[in-house]
Amino acid sequence: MNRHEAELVVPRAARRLFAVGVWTLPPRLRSLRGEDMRELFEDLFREAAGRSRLAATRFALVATVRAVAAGIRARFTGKEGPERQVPGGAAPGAGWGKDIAYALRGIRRDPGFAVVVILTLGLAIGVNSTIFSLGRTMIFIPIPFADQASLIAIRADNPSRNIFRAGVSAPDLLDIAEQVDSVAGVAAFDRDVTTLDADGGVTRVATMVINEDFFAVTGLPLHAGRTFLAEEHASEAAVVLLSHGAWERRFGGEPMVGSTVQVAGSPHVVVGIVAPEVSRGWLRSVELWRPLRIAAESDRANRNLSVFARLAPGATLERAALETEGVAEILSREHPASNDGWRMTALSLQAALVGPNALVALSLMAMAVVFVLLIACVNVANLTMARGAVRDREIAVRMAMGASRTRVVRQLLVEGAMLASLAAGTGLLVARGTFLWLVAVTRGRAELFLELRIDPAMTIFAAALALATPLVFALLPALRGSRSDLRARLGEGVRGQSSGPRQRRLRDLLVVGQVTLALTLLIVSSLAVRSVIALVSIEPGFDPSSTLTMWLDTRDTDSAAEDSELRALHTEIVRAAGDVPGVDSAAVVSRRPFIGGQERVAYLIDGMPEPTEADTPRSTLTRVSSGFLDVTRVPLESGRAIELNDDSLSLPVVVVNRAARERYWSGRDPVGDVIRVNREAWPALRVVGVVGDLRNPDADQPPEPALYVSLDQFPVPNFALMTRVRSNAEDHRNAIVAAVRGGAPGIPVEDVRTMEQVLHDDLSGDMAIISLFTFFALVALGLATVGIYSVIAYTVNGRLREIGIRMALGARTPDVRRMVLRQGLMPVGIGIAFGLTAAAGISQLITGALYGVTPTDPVTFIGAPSLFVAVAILACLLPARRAAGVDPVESLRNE
Amino acid sequence: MAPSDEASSHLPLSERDFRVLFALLDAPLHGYGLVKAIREHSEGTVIVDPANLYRGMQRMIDEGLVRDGERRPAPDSARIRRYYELTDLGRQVLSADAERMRSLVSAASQKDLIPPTGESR
Repeated sequence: MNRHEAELVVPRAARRLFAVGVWTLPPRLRSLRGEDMRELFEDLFREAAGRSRLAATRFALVATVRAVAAGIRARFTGKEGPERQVPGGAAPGAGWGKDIAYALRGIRRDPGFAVVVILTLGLAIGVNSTIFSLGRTMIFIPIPFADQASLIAIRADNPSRNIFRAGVSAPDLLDIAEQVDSVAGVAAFDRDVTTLDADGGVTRVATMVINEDFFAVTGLPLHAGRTFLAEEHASEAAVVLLSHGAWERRFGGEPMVGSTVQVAGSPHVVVGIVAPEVSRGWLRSVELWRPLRIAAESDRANRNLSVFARLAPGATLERAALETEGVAEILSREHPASNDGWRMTALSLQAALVGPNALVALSLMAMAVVFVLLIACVNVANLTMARGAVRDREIAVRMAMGASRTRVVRQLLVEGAMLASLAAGTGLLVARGTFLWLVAVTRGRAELFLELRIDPAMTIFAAALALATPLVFALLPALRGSRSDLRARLGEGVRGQSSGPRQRRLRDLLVVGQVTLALTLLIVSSLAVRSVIALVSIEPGFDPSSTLTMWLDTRDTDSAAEDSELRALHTEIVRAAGDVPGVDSAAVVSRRPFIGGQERVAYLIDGMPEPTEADTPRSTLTRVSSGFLDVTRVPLESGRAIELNDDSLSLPVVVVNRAARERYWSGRDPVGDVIRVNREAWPALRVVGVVGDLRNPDADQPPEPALYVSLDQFPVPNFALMTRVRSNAEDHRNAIVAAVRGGAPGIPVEDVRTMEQVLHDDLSGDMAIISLFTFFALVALGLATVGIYSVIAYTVNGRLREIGIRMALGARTPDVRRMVLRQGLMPVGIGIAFGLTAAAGISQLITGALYGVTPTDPVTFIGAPSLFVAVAILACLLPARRAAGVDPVESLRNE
Repeated sequence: MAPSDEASSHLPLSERDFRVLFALLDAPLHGYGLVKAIREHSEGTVIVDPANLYRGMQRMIDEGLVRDGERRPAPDSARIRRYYELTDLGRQVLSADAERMRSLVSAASQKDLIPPTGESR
């Protein structure tokens, strides 16, 4: 082996592939020799790769297939070695061995049947495993809360302002804890980000700020140490808990309860380590826990707390919800300024953590995959029945030769079991592939997909289903064969009873069912896909190309605490970035589009009548430097943008967006008006311009009214830099980051992303759904096509003799072709009618989940059936041509 | 030399088992060395894949024909590999099987099925 070969790295795909092969081997062999097998595989792979890529690929495939074959042989024979001929008679269990050999021979003799059954069932099992695992992951709460049944969530809603599932303010929480009798304790938390000095640098970490009863109420376990004491909450003392992951990763897992770490620039005592199993789901990224004081005197309008509550013994969720709603009603009367229009209610943990939209999407997908499974089963039933005639005869021969009934049944069982296990294996591979692909599509950003595991219960369910279908249909011929008159059967020939009118009717029915299911699925899927496409293709309102952005946070660092220092820092960062060659423009903003939470304000417009609470203008507020429009290319509609001289010395100004103009100025040009924002110590703002809208991050909502003020006039310590460059934004990444680090030393630069990545990340969940649905619809269409084809092909085969007679009697080729087409398309037509009806019903049910497409969208409702007719014609055409080509003499002689 | 009862209970060897034991006759080998040796003395007619090679190997280990030795660096690469060695029983079985084949071959040549080998050439 030369040096070059020795250094070749075996690609992960090849190693994975072979690992699948090894996985099929019996556990003992795998554990004793698995490592050697993998090493040898890699050695041989490298050697083959030295010859050519093709040779290496072929080697990897052959080695894997042989491993799987060895695994199957080993499992079925119960031996780990290859079978040896034992001189002098049959070994115990040789009967099973023979059955397997016989079944393998049967599969080899008719590989088309086996492949179609395995792929059909495998695909169906695979997509079912995926979706049901996904569903379980969504509904199942991975965080180990104690006694989840009595843990509920409390959320606030404000229907008149279209706000649902908001948090609860500290004073409201205290009132609820005191007045709702059904609640025994409340766990409240706020999420925050803070800095932590660890492994030689300052990093920003996700933090949970929790109330005193948090651990007692949720029952989350600790790994070491203790939770916070009451007095530590009361004084918001300098104590922290570390997540198990942060402790291991950042501090090497050394014992450290009682030691001190630097949090937010000051020493904090570590009092405990949270147990590793807590870091799941939405707690996955949390590294630090800090105590929170719930103060009665804090702002009642600041609904920043997420709240879980423990039901009192004997209390129910319904009663807790009623009591909470009652308390909220009293609060909204007592504190109209902060609580008017606000309701509070108690929900189950599931309802709080799993959104209703997610449930709709999930049930749609569940429906889709169950349809795929049904179609697959119908297909297999069809194929097995079509094959039944051949089998009947074979079985009759075997029984005539003295095979016992149990023997025949056993052999059929073995054959079915083999097909089923192969199908289940394929299904698991499909599921695993789909998982990996979902994580890839969402680039690991969706916590949900990271939690995905193949669910063992689902695996058993899938295997059982896979076993059931072929077994039932594999046994049919045996049961029939075993009670029938052998002589009659042997004499019947292949044409036999399976082309009789009763069988044909049954097969036609199966086609009808299949077309109904597949068409329904196709229509509903395309409605769903078209909704998502409509959502994703909404213009973002700015130009995301060639834009690199990054996040800077000066909080918790010793630099820039005063406004004047912040202003200098902003200017310096814009200058440093702007000086990088290739950068066209740069701006600092308090929030990048589509990332993070929005700052929102309510305001009054001078000269307009005093609005009611519900009519008060409300907008998002973004602080931007001059250059914001240059970087984002958001269009200026009238007036001017925020400019360089809108600084701390000049009059405060504001730019509004088009949505705000339409909503609060009734479309009249607001330039020159004065607004007053509900912030303490904020001066009146003069409107100087109107700019275009940005897409609402909730894509199915219209753009939100927005205000832009000058970052120089209203500085913030945490902000983003946005730069527009002349070419590919990624090429300038390092230069810009280096320039910013030089211009603002000591300030952490984070989350460097191009705006295109930001948009992609924002849409990746939707794209995953589109692709899943498209995949389901294509699988359904493909399976239905195979189904229609196989039924018609089989019917034609069975009728060759009849067709021969017709042609001998003068029927012409086109007549025959027409007859076959008509008989093939009839059940398809009926299926289409049923399918349209079903799809219309279902799409009415999901109107709420559709966007930009009506539930009776004509394009879909005409397009999908047309596609089906086309596919069905194609599926009939081949057999029809065969029928038309029948030579009457040949077909009669064949008997 | 008459084979012991224990050795003859392992007869006949399959071709692959024979080749594996034969390759181990001179010195312990690791998997890749084994594959290369088998390929060489079978002139490429016996193809082994990792799974089946080790499946057979494990069976022969269980039967006491082969012993799995230590893991050590392979001389032709820096990688650590496990070496397999022939046991005394394995050596007996190998020679017993060769004897068995010799008697078959001589029977075949006595009937002029194949030309005689060895000293007559």
